[in-house]
Amino acid sequence: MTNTNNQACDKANNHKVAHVQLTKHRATTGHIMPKGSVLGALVFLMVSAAGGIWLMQNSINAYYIQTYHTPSPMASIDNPAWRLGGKIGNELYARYGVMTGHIAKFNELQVANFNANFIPTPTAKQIQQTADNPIITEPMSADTQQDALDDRQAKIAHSLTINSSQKVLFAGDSMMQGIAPHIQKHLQSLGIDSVNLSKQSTGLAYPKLFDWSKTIKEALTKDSSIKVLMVMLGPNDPWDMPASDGRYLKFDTAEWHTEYQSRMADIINFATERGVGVIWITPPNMKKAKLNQQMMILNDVMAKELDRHLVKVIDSRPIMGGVDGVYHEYLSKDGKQIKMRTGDGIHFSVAGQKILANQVQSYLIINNQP
Amino acid sequence: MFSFLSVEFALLFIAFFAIYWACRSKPAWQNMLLLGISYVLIYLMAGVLAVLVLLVFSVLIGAIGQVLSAPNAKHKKLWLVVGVLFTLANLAFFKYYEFFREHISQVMQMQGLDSTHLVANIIFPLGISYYSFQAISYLVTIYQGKLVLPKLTLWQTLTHFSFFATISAGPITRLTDTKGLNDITGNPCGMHAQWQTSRPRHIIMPTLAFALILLALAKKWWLAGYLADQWVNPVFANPTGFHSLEVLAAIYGYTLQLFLDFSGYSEMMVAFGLLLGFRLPMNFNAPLLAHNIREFWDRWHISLSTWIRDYIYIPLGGSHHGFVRTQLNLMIAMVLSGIWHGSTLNFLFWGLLHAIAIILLNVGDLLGQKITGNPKGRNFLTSTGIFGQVVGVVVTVHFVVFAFVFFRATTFDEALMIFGALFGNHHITWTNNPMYLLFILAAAWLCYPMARTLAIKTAPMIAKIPSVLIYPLLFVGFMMVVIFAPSGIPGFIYANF
Repeated sequence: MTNTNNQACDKANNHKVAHVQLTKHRATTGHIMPKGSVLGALVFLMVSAAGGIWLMQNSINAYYIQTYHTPSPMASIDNPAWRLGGKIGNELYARYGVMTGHIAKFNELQVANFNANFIPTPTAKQIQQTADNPIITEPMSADTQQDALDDRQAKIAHSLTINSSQKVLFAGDSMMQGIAPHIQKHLQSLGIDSVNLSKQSTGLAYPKLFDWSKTIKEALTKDSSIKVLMVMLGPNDPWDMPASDGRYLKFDTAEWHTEYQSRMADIINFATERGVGVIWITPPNMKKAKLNQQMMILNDVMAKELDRHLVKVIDSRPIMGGVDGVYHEYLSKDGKQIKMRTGDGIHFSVAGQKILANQVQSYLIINNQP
Repeated sequence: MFSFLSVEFALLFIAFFAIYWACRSKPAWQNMLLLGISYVLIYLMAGVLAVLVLLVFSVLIGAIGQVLSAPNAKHKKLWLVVGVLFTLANLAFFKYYEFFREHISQVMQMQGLDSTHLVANIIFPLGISYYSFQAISYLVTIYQGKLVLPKLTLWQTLTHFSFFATISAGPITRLTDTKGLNDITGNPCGMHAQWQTSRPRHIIMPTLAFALILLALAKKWWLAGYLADQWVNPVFANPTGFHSLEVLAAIYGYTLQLFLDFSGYSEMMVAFGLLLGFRLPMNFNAPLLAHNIREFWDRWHISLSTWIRDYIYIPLGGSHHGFVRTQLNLMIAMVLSGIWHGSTLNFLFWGLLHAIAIILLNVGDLLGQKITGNPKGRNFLTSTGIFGQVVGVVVTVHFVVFAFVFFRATTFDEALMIFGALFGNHHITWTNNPMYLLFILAAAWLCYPMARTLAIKTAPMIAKIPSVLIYPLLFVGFMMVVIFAPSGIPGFIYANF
């Protein structure tokens, strides 16, 4: 009987609390929180989307190509009113570029002033760093070089000889972003500066998105102390790509090969004509079957072009544990299994980055004479 | 990867928004639409594995919830324990698999056993940490009998766990109203009543919602992206190559990047909620103005810190068993929080650092109270006046900033290398002008309290401006952010946790 009474009492209390909760909920949602017009919000969303696409059409076209590897459907719209939006967008970007250019110039002046007045001279700096970090690699004697290398290799080795007043330039995608800092640390310990321009999601296929040829040429022209260029590109490239005349070249056709190789040659020739040595690292195997197949094709295309130049080619596949075109996540070394890649099957683990970086930097010949 | 910041998402959201509000008179249909779009987005962002893990998990937790909420349920405590253990096991398996795999592999190799058949890599399912926390809260709330409204249906439960505005990186929502967890107007915002409502929903303050999205894009896409690209990533990737001042700028920059990135993301989710008629909890409240480290945790990632308070600290005994036991409970809670962020020792150490800081603060408060006889035991320094407040803010922010080095670095050695570069790299030439960033950061920090006060004071006036004027201004703001933001779509730092 008591139990029944308690249950009835609980039930009544529960109803009371429920009523309070519902009232409170209605108070907070229905009365205090201001309502808005769904139609107004929808119109704003649609007009903003349309206006944004109109103004940013060039950026969206570039994004579309990079994401879906076919020309954007909007690229073929040839209406003056439509094109006007693109022009306005470009003008806005240009003005923003001018503004950031001023800021960059201001900062460059401050950097130059600080480096000139508050940091020891390069010679003093080098002496200090040499004292802190004795040079590890002595320049190879001519005899040793002749014994060890054939003429081609000797020329390549010569082009990769660098001293403490010279710099290394890194160019590449997210893979290079992974390994460059490790090589930079090594070089820094030897008193050698470097410039790392690597940028994720870039390659040679879509220069409208990011133009590596232009970027590298500008960097080499601006800074004559750059002695070695390291390049690692590829995984963003194996798709249909626009040629200079606007036509789309189908991946793995003769035209595509020729165009891609000409873009590589453009960079390599510009560097080698200026006495800049080149290390070109070709991409590793990939986990996804389709991408792996594409990488094998791209590796062949690259190898054929690289063979025509006096550059050091580093095939990253065996270094990363891949064998015969087969992706391996682990490298077997000294009886140990070392995880070389991240879960996405593309990028490198930290251990993988370090192992590849060690291999790459071992080809640089450090000359302790400035 | 499909992202909340992509063109594709924007177009999909507009289409969904139109369909969702076309069903305005049927909240139950709207719930089903939310369930559908959430699973579609999870699939697009993280693939079929993430969808399957979430679905199986949600169904099982929902079923246990149904058992727990039955009027004459037996063995309720046992079912609660089963549900919580299952949730923790599921989370630990995906979160720490790689950590344990390496150790198991090493042990097997030492025993001469072949470890190559251990599954190499398990992809971390999107949002698993966040819906796991929501599940524990859900089970405990039902177990405690705090829900007097009708229980959630299985469909509502599935929607609660998968809601796209909370799944990727929180905020961690609760079924019931919770102390400290409030919506943008400061009101409690339990989800139970919001899922269950049979009254038509209303779009809530759309201009504010769009303003929040604009603010979020500016914080996350433009400012956090700029800090990461220009100042933080290059230095943290190669600290030995940068001057001490550049390293200092990067260390400050990282904390700001993390704050802008995560608070921007959270505000964007709150805005999506408002646009769909939901009130989600705010996750940040000016944490870089906190007077002490305890207050910092009241203001930083609020939905996580309140969760840790309610489901770890208080069950351990909270502050009810004396001063020493309270500090021990705090230590356990903060270290667990650190480990939750990642399986490396860095995260454990980061959690430990924060625990030590809070304990030192508590000890300082106790000493201050005893020595001066000041009855205000808590926040002793702050209560001494403006000087004490300024000292408190400066010390707190610097502690937070330097502790985050261990959060950002991938190994302990790397963190030490960053500190080594900070104190030793005086002879390295500048690559960038660190004074430029340091000046901007200092100015922003000084102006932030005034700007915040101004924003709060002017909000009612801005609310009165007709939409026909506000909307064009918002559009101009969106375009400016798109132009200012670095190229590419940024990732979401906290989605990885």
